[in-house]
Amino acid sequence: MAATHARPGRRPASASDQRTVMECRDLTVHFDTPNGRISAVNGISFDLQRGECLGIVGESGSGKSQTFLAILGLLASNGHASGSVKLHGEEILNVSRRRLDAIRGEKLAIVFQDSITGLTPHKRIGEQLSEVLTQHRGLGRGAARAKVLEMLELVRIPEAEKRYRMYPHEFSGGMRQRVMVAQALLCQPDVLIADEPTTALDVTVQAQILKLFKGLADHTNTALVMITHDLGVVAGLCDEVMVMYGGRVVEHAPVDELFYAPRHPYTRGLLACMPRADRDSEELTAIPGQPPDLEALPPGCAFAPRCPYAFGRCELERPILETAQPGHLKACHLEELP
Amino acid sequence: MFSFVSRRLAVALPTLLVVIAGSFFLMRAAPGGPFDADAQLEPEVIENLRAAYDLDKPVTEQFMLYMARLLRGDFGPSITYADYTVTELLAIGLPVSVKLGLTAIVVALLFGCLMGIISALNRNRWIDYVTMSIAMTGFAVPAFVVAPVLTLVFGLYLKLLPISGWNDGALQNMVLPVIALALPQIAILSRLTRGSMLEVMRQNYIRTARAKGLPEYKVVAGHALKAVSLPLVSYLGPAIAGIMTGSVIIEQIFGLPGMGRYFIQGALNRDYPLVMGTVIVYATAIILLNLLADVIYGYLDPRVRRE
Repeated sequence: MAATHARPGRRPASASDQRTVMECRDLTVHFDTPNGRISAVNGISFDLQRGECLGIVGESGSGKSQTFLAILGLLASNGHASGSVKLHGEEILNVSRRRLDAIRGEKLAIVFQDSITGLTPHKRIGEQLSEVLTQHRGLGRGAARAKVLEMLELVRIPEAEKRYRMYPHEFSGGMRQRVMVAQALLCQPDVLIADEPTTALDVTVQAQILKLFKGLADHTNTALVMITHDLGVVAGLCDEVMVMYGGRVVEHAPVDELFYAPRHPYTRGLLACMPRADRDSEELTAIPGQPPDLEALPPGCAFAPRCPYAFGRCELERPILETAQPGHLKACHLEELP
Repeated sequence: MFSFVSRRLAVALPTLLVVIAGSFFLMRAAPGGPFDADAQLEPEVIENLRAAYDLDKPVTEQFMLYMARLLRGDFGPSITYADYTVTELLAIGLPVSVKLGLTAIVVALLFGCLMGIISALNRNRWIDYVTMSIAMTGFAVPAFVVAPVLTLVFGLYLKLLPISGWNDGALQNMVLPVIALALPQIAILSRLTRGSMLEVMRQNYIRTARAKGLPEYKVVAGHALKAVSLPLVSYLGPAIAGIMTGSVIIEQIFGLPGMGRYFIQGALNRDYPLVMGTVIVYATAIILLNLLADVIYGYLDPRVRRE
């Protein structure tokens, strides 16, 4: 356990540390289904610092989104979370709805992947945004409106006055996503979670949205969590990266170290999958095999069936997340990657 | 909005024309005539009567004559109720049917939505099963069974309510017919509401609303209800049609002097102008109310409005 508590990064953290915004310890999420129990997240721990950007990388089903939905109390009704999540030292996991409502949108905000279905279709954009301020700040209509217009301009929505009165379907995909970002930023949250915010957008728009996040990470104290499967996004934006596989963290390291000296075969596989223009290869690389079945996770390492370096021990004993070198955690039986 | 309504009205006119022509010729194609019941009349008398109502002319000419009269706003004389014009009979029957139908619709919407929302919020608990079983029964048992059972229990055994008659629309006379008329609609509306509510609460934008820190009542009232009501508004057209046709039977069972009563009397006696009059009023009402439902839908869903 000690190993998972050690925080990688520039300096050690503790609950008393003023820079630490959020501490997540041993977070576990499972879903009860008619076919049995599915464990989506298994004992995840991490800290978030003010102004830091943490990247969460993994395939679909690796538990990266469910981790943060659990923290926000937004799991599906058959989902259950356990462990501990503290925001400024105060427990926020499995607290009352009233308590959650005070935190969500105010201290803890999220930008979802799908802006098409993520905004209420029959409500004007202005109303959807200003209700965040009336709810949390008790602002009147006029004051909320002024603040919303200011925020819409900040995220570069042209003709904000006019757009304020429009409906989501009258916006383009990129503009809708910017509205989602504006909505999340209205109360200047301590933690902003971006759940694959650029996946549904085309490349040029992606770049604009990422620039928006980049500016945010550089100029505010908001801790940013960037959930993505795009390592390119991570490289350009994040300070640290957490790689997830089968509901567990397999590697956690500062971004440069992860890219230049990955310690887990899965991370290396992911890096190899990135198409590169500077290399003269004809084919795209892929990690062979399928993501693990969460209903029946193997007793050993979940990645072992797909791992090119797996040996006997990997299938029998699950590797724990341990410090490979200061600030760099990995969960692999191999001391060094061959 | 104005162009939408006027375009829809332009389409409604040919529809109405088809309905008029269809029922006119179908009525004439049915065997029998208006004077068959009066067996004791002399053949010459019948000839004279037929001539008086233009029934001796070819059917197409009769149709032309009828249409010409209709364009002047005249529904013609009733044959059975010899002292009345059809317009006068409709003026007696329409208010009764409208009052009955509107009350039934309001009752159906009220109870249907309430039952559906309660069911959805208590999904898969006993209250959900009880409500949905009631709804299923209400849907499966036809009005002509429900109505006599209601009269039997509340009218004859318990002697709480009158078994028939209109009594100028007094409350105690309305209760049983309204229940019998609304019951199938309550059943359908509650199932629709339940399904719609469950569907909407699964949407991503509901999750977004919760993530903003809105309390649940604001999430439901501000972000869900409009979307929940959309399928209900779509069903409003068919529901109105169902209540109107149901009304024909219910008025007969409870002996209410509404349009449905005149329609059945007219059809049985081959009172051609009376049947045509009621059909035209029914068709116009259904077309207009469907249009109203579409306008409401457009108001609720901004994505439809612009198209």
